[in-house]
Amino acid sequence: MRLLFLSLLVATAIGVLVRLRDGRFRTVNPTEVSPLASFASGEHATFVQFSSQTCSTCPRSLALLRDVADQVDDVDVVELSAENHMDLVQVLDVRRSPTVFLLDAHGAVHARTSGAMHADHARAAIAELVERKPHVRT
Amino acid sequence: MSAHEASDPAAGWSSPQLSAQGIDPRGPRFSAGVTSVVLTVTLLLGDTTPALLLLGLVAATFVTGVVSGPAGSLTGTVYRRWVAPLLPTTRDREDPGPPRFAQAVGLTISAAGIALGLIGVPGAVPIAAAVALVASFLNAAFGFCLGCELYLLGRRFLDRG
Repeated sequence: MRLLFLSLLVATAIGVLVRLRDGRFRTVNPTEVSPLASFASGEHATFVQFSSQTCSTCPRSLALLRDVADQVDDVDVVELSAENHMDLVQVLDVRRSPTVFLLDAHGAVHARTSGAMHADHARAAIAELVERKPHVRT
Repeated sequence: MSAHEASDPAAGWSSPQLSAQGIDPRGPRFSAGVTSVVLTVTLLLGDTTPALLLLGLVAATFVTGVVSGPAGSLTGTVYRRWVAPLLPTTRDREDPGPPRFAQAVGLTISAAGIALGLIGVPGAVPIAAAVALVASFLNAAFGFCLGCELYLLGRRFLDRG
């Protein structure tokens, strides 16, 4: 009986935490060399999504990012299969799929998030990149 | 407008054609709901033989999910025959691969519980049921597939070794 309550409590706590964190971009301190630089195809910004074979929300997340990118100038979306890029998965500490990185024009990682995407959060991340742009690299 | 969207050629398996052949995503959630109820009863029965038998029933449905996919599993079939017709139709579709993998994870946990329970390890059945309940409840209530999340971590672990 105690075990029943404990498991329901743990599950609910995890579920609420996941809901709160999913799709919220957090800013990443820029590194000297960006391992994703070669994927920065967007003139202004690029979303790089790591998908995997056991990710049911990845197609939905990719479609949402493409919708957001279509509404903004010079923002691209790139999808990578995690299984085929295990080196990047290790280096970037990708734990879940989808994990999404937002790159600036130079390919530096500006922000990252994972889980179910939200259009508002994705748009906000791009907007923040615009604001920060003059301060990054000269 | 983004003029072109570069795409990794190796990632071709994932998206657009899914809408044509995917499954109703509410199916696996229904299945997870049924599983949660059965596992709740299992936990209420404590460390007893009836609990072991119920966990066996759960494991058996997981087997059908792994073999026939989430839409062809016991609960998936119930959903398609009798539940889906009562619900408004949806065009939302998802890849059956991930929930199938999750069923395999669920099967591993419940089978371990049964095996340990059969050789008399105390608490094995309730503990396995509790772990499985956390996963199925997360899926049913939040649409969060814990089993699916384990996949990438597993790959990373194997890759490192």
